[in-house]
Amino acid sequence: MECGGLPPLAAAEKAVPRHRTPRQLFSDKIAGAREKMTTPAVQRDTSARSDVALYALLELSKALSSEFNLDKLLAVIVEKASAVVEAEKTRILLYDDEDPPPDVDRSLTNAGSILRAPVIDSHGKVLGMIESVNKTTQSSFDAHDESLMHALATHVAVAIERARMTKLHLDNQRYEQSLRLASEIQMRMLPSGTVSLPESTPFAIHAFIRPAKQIGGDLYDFFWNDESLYFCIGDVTGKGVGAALVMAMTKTLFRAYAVFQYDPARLLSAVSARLYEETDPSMFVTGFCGFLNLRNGRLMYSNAGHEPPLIVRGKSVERLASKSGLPMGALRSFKYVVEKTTLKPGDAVFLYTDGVTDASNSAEELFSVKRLREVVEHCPDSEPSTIVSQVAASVDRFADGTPQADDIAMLCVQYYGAQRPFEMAETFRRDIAELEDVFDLVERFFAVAEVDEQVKYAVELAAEEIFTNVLRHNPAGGDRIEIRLKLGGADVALSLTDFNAPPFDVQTEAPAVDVNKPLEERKPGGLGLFLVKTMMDRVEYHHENGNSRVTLYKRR
Amino acid sequence: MFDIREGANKELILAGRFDASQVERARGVLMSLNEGKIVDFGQLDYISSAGLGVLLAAQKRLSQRGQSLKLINVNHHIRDVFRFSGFDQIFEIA
Repeated sequence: MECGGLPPLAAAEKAVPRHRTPRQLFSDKIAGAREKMTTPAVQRDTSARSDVALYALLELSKALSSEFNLDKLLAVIVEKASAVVEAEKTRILLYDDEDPPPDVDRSLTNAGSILRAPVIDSHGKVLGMIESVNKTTQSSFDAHDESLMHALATHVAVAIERARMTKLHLDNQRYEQSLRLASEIQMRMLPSGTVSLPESTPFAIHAFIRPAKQIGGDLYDFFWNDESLYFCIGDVTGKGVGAALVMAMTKTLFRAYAVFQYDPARLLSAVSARLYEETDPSMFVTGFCGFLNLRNGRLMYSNAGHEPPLIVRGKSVERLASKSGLPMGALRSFKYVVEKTTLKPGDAVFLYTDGVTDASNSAEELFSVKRLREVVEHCPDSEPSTIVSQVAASVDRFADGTPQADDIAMLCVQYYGAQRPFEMAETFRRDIAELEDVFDLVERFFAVAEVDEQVKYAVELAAEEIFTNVLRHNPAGGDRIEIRLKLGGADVALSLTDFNAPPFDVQTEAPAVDVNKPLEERKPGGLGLFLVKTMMDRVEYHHENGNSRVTLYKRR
Repeated sequence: MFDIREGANKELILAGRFDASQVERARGVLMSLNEGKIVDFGQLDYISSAGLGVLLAAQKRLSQRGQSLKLINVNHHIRDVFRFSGFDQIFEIA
């Protein structure tokens, strides 16, 4: 730190030979400095003044190293400066952050009764000036005072710079805090996870949001009543605070208009018009919204430049065809197109933002719609939480550490139709006579679960065949057998558990059946399990904790 | 419930559900046939592999005598079962 010949106190101390006291050193040093720096001038005895000045400088140094509050610091400087140069008063003038006036004096001026020095920062910018008036002990300020003033001015510059940097740091901290708050507010606007719904609700829904930074521009919304479910997803162009604000505005607009608007195209038009009025011309929002009639599965939807959602119907996964309009907010008025399709019980709609398909890995490949479809196709079921978590996991595996560049949002809805999932179970003795009760259980189950006759027959047959099979292969088992029937969103699951039983994997241990053999060569063995495997869609076998369990699935 | 009885035209009538618990009763009747028969499935709602096994055995035995069973009025679910198991190739199904 340059200070015009006066070393900081600490540095001076380091150089002290042991037999010298600091005070003596200062006097010497100052005397020496004075000799170096002053222009030829009257050299008078300044030892008396030196004491006062010395103490003032000492206190000034202490203040400079400990005080971070700029105002307090400047007050100390002003006070001590007067003592040091023996002036009637001293003032410090600071310019605002804007550049100082062009005619500012960059050099120290001594006008006899006024002594002024510019305060210049480390970049050479003039921050202000320090000025003392009316020397008390003499008629005018001398060369010695000039050096001191120069030193003081430098101290002031350093103090100001440091105080400003501290303020900047605090401001940053405050900014970080407000970002955290904004992030919290945003996340509360977008509840994610599986929504807990009452028993009789004819659909399930799962949402996922992960902004790339603390705050983001992706949004989604949904609400429902007895008749219909409304949902939407959107993506604000741009990033940062601006996009986040538009995101909040858009979601609010959607909700406000969707409450009394049943036409998705009109809804998009209304939101678009407001966005056009209220936001910057460069802000657009892509969006997709739909209204699902919960009584009959009819879905009306409209698209504003957004990625078309995927529709899952059993094993098939297709893009939902849509005549996409312009993103919202682009034009003052725009007429969107409404389209329709019908969801059957078990069908699901998967909405997403381009953060999913544009996710990239280190080889700069994109996740893409193709990969997304594959992941959804391979999901074991069409439950919204399953689909969303599988896609999220797949994107993360694909990105493999590459930072997320864009916000990711996903919303998945599965339509149950009139039926929500439920299950029934019962235990049976190892006796063929129990078969009647097994059928009874199946009968009771299908009295509640409405499915095609074909599904019922397949499940009934599977129940009998697996039950008799267990009886045949483990007749001596001590425990009862449990049969459980479960109605899922898209399928029926039949499971049979043989407690404390040896493994018997029906998939691998059943005898082979050749249906094309002629009569004489046909054998009855294995036919039961063969029929089960043919008529049911999926077989799972687990042997866990000593229990043997086979589960069979049939799509509704 | 399951019933196997002779009809007015000497055909065999199967009624109800032909499951594993009914195998013995059916076997008694079907394995004592000496000539081909028409078997009316019109009142049969359900059949499983146990029933198929008995029918297979009966058909094999009759086939050795140059005879066979002919199945009529088979409902659409049972038809599927016959198709899956390849039994539509070893039985004449009207």
